[in-house]
Amino acid sequence: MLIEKAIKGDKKAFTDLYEMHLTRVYRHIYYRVGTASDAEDLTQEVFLRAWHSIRSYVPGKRPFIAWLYVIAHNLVIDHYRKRGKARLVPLDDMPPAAGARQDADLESMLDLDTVRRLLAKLSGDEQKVLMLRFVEGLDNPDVASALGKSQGAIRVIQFRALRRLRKLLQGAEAIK
Amino acid sequence: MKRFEEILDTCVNDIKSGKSSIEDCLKQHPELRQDLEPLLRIAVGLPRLPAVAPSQEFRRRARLALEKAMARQGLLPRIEEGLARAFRPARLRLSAAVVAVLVAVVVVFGGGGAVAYASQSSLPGDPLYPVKTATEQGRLLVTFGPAAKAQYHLELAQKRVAEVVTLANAGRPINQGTVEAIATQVDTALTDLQKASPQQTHAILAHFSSQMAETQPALAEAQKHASKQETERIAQTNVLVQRGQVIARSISEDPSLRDQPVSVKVAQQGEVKGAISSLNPLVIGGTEVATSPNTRISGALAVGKAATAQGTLGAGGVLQASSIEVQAGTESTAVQFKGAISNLNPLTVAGRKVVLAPDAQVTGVLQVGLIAGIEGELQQDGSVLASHVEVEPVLQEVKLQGNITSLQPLKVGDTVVVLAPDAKVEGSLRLGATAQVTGSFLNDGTFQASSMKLSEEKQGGGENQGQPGQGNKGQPGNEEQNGGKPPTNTPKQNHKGPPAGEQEKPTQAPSSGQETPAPAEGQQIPPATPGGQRETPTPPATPAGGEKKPTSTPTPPSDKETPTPTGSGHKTPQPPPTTGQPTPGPKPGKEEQKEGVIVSIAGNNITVEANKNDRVTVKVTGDTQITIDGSPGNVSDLRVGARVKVQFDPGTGVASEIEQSKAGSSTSGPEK
Repeated sequence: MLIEKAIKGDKKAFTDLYEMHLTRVYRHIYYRVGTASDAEDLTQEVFLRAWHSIRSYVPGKRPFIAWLYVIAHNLVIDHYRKRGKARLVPLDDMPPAAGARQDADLESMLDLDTVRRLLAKLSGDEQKVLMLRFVEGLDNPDVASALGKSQGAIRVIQFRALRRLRKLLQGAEAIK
Repeated sequence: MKRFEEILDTCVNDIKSGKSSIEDCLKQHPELRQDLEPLLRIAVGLPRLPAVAPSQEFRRRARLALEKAMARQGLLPRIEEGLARAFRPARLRLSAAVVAVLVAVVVVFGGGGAVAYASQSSLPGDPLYPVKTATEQGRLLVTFGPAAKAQYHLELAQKRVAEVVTLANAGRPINQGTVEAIATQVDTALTDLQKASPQQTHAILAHFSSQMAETQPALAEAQKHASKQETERIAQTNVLVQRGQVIARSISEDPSLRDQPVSVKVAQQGEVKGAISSLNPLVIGGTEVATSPNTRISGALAVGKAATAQGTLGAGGVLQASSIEVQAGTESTAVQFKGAISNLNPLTVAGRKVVLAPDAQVTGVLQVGLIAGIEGELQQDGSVLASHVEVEPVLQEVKLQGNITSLQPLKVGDTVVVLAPDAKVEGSLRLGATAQVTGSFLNDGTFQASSMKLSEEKQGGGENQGQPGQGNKGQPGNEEQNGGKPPTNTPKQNHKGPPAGEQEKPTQAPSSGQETPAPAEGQQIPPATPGGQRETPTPPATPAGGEKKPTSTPTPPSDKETPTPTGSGHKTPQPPPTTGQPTPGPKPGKEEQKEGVIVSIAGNNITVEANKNDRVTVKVTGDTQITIDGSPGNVSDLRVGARVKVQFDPGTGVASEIEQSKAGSSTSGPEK
């Protein structure tokens, strides 16, 4: 198995893993940082770090891709810290204002930039659940095992995340 | 009846699999239409985000970089890469210098640049190793400025650490010189930094601290495979790394500490008191004592007599005695000594195994790298049954200043702060308040506060109270650090808190029975953790316990998070959560149950604090059932700061069960 070989230091196996997962990791980061150059730098760093700490990966504990997402998540956080930029406006949901679009229209508001901006306002878990569940298309049991949580917990986080995103979308529309 | 979130999930699954449409789902749950529809629309809309893929050019470039990195396998290149990233400008400046050194090597060694280059991967004991160190010295000669010199010394310290790891992994002997070189390089860097600017000091040491933290897993791993003989050297290296990390972190946060005499070297001066158990070699209180012709000895050395030896604590815990005083009469097995903690499980101080007596008084936090004074009884197996342990922080009185950005965990700026049990807190602990904290950094990057002074942040209006500012960082008291700007206390400009009226609305708190999905399957879901937290498990938040108290989720800025127990927040100046009321244990009989936060782990003794006035120390035995997040674990998995439920016998203090819900320490890697 590729992962086990990679853990034993097989470079070819790790390169294959890289090929398999590059796009997903890149996309995961891109949605969070919003520029190709930052996403490229961070993606490259994810795989370098993964290679260097591959021995700490425990197969079976969580899928390899989820492990890469964790590294990516940490790097994104570092990225924002290093830039000295407060990534977030206060996290409280902006209140829906008069003139906000109807909910039915929210779907059409889901453009990449808006989603990226608003996702950043969710908690780390909420971001990950939405990304894994909807953008990556994993099903509930896989997300649960990826994040080391119960399926029930994932359902709750999913619900909260969607509810929160809805409010944020309403708020975003209101200030447009 | 199914909960809302379950229905939502089922609908999402059905829609994703094409089994039904949004409308089908809404028809099945007409009573939920209003709430369900918008969420489903978003769920359906998310996957339709434009596909993003890396460019071919990037794929190729990243793959090349990866292959290059893999070719330079091992810890050494890893550290070099880290340094290269951190010190890019300096390295660019130095590239000319490196060339000059290589030229110098050609001249001096008559060998040629290739030899110098080849020597760079050599290890202590290799024929080319002296060339490597000579090259390093050469480069040092052409490195100018205190900051650049300090950087280079730290780089060399890291190289030495990497060498220790590589040697250990290769099963080769580690010489003492390599270990000592680590200390020398770090100490020299600290001296150089006294002349550098606070900004440079901050940048260099903050990075060094995190690099040191990254090397610890490799050291721990190496220690597992090392022979007994090498284990001691690795333990010494580990002590230096841990001390280096804490010192670097402390000074980076509070550059005024540069002027304090500080060293990663472990207590040079040592003293041991106890009975003489052997004359050749001379062993006093279980410690081997070496003498020289200059050692002053008063009294006649004889087995069974009590003696005090003073001198320099050398490698392997041998005391090079400058004086030995033999007391009249004999003494029992009482011993007293001081040294670095090199291991926590089993507790090892100055190379000796220390077992804490059930009633041992421990002051300070037991951590590898810290110096501990031990008083106790020498046991037959050479271990010491300690009755008193006093741990000295690496650096006294680090001052941290910043705004409270989170209450759970308690954070001042970016730094997670744990209040010492006897910490003095003046003022009201609330989000946005300005805190001046005195205390010391712990190995895991958290800050243990001995005192905290809080003053209200000046706000433009009252509305935003309770809202954190944007990413304000815990800044040291030194204003220069921030380019001359006052580090904190500035009114926040960017609060976009909800308008009055929305303020009281708890972001994640229940608003109706329907909307309050209780965590399913027994899992505690903390109230919405703020965005951008570093992936590290956090202790579960204070359970609402069915009360209608709003959880009023604080909204700290993006940040790494080190899980540490802190208060539940609301104007309570004592962070350890007060939820840990002793609850009647499920087992009838004499056992008690306590829920709280681990405040110290000393060998097999775990101290759990339920609240300020309620802490208990329990003993872990072979029969203690330990679970970590529901999986079986052992005592080494328990973490200071983690929330636990403990079932124990109040008479003997022996724990029958310890359940740690969330462990955690700040780590750089995702897996431990």
